[in-house]
Amino acid sequence: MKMKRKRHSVLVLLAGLATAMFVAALVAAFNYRAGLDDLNSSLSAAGTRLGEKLAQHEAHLTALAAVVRMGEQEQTESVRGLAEAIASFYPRIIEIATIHVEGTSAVMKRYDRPNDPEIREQGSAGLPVMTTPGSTAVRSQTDDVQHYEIYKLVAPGLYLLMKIDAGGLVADGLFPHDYGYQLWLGETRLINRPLRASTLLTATRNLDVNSVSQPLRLEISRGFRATELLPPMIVLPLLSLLAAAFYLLVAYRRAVRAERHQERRAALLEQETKLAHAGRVNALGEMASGIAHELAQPVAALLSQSQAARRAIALERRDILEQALDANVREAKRAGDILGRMRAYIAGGASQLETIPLERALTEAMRLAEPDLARRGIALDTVIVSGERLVRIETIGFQQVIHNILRNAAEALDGKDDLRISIRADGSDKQAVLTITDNGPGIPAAALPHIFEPFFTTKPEGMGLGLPLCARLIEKMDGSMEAVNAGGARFIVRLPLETTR
Amino acid sequence: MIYLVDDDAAVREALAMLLSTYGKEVATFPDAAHLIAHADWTRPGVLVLDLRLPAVSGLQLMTQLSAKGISWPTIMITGHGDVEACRRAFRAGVTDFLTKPVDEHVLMEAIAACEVQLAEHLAQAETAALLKQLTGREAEVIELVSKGLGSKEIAAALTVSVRTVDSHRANIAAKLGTPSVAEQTRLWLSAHR
Repeated sequence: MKMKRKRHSVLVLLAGLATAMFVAALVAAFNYRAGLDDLNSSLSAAGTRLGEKLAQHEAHLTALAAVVRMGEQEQTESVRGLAEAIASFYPRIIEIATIHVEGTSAVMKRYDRPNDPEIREQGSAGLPVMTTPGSTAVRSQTDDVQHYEIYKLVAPGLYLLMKIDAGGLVADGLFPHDYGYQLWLGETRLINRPLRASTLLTATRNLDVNSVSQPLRLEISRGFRATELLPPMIVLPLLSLLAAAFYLLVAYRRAVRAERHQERRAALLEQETKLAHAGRVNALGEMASGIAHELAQPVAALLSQSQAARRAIALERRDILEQALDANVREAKRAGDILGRMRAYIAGGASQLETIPLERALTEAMRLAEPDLARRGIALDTVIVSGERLVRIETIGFQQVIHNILRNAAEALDGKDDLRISIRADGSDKQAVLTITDNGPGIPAAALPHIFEPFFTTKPEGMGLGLPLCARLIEKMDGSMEAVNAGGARFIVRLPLETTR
Repeated sequence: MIYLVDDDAAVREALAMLLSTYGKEVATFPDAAHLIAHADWTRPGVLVLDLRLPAVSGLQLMTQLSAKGISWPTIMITGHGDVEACRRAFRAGVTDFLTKPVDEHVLMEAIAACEVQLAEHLAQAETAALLKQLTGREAEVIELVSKGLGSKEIAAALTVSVRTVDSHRANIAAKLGTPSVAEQTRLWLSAHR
């Protein structure tokens, strides 16, 4: 029972822990989802803004191309004016130039600065091959990964070049500061800003920016710290709430169990009371019949002897008279004994409980039986496992019980060799256990279940009240009594121990 | 002779003592087995049995004895005076059924009745033994004698000579030990009522 309860409370504790973990996981999942939503909306917002910026580049190129194309002679001033304006307004556009291709050589004129166009000659081999005027091409630079170039073919042999600082595209607070991001052009990573803090979890999303001329791909990622997933402000109150609920549940269950236990006890007690009553009513009937039968014997003897005595007087037979009177005395005593036992059984004796050491109670009880046992040649083997044990008993009743058990044992041993009765006093810290075992033939198996029933007897002269009386006396001392076969017959008497004097 | 069986030693001794003051010879036994083993079965007597005996009850003992051909008059004594046990005892053939404690006079009356019964029983047994000596023809003759027929009538009835009938009657007188026709008739009728 104790073991079971212990296992039960471990289970309850585990269930509580599991619930707490489940709740924490739920909170974490919720926060994670919210974080992902933030990430997604940041990404789509960033994508939109990035798309707008890229569209600006296209618009500028278109405008520049229109100016460049105007007239035979390149209108240097107009181009420069426009280019300067664009470059000063959009710092991320770091270079605006035209490229004239003649055969294998190319001449590049740069317009984004206020002074004269910087003219640089270079081979035309490095330029993207384009045939349709108005079309664009985009290229990353191998030596300078943060920048990329947009070429627009204005007319055959005439290119417009715009160089973009990708850093400028993403610099101005496009994302929350703790986000990491990467910007790709094809296979080239233009920008890489990794997550700064080390985190518990990371999530990454990417997006192809909506632009025909500049097919950029944006990838952003964010991390989740433990405190983000399980914010103490939420988790701690939740867990304490859970603990409180758990505690209440356990307390409630305990209360319910206690109440149920109480109810069961009450029901049991009531049942016992009913049973005891029924038992008494039944026992009364049995007793009346038992009294009639038991007393019939000595009374029958008394009557016959008395009548014989009267006749002996008439016959002047003094010997018969004396014999009859002796027998009368004996039988009257026997009848008295029967009535005494009867009275003791009915009343159970006036119970005067007193608290005395077990050892003393047992020694006193045995002293009464010892002479008889010695006369019968029965060896008594007594082991009292000591320790100051106090029992609350009715001394006379207790002595009667021990005497009765010993007498039964002695009678069972009659006519055997090596007669032995062993008495052992032992027990736990809650109760004393007395074990009285003989080495006789034991109790017949058929009789064993009935030996505590009134008027059940296996002895020809027995009345069947000895053991029932013993059991009742012990019950009155809040103890119990049982019989088993262990070699011979064994009687076990259990008495509760008193803790205080 | 009284055979007393009771498992209670005190009751046994007390009854034996009382009966002895009436000059009765009493043999006591604690149970059925002792009675069967140690009673002198050649001396018919009165059985006084306790109904409730260990192992074999008084009624069962009666059944066992009658199976052995012993049907002596029996008094059943019991501590429980229940009607059912009483009915069964009488059906088993007890002469009387007494409850403990048994009064002297009731007991002595019952014993006296049993002794009368026993005497009759013994006389009957004796007569039966005498009549058993007769041959078939002699039995036919004495039956006709008991009906009041004379020798001539008997001779006619049996189609034998009168002399033969007289010879049979002489044998009958010798075997039954009496020449008196009245006595012979009484013996015959007591056995063939």
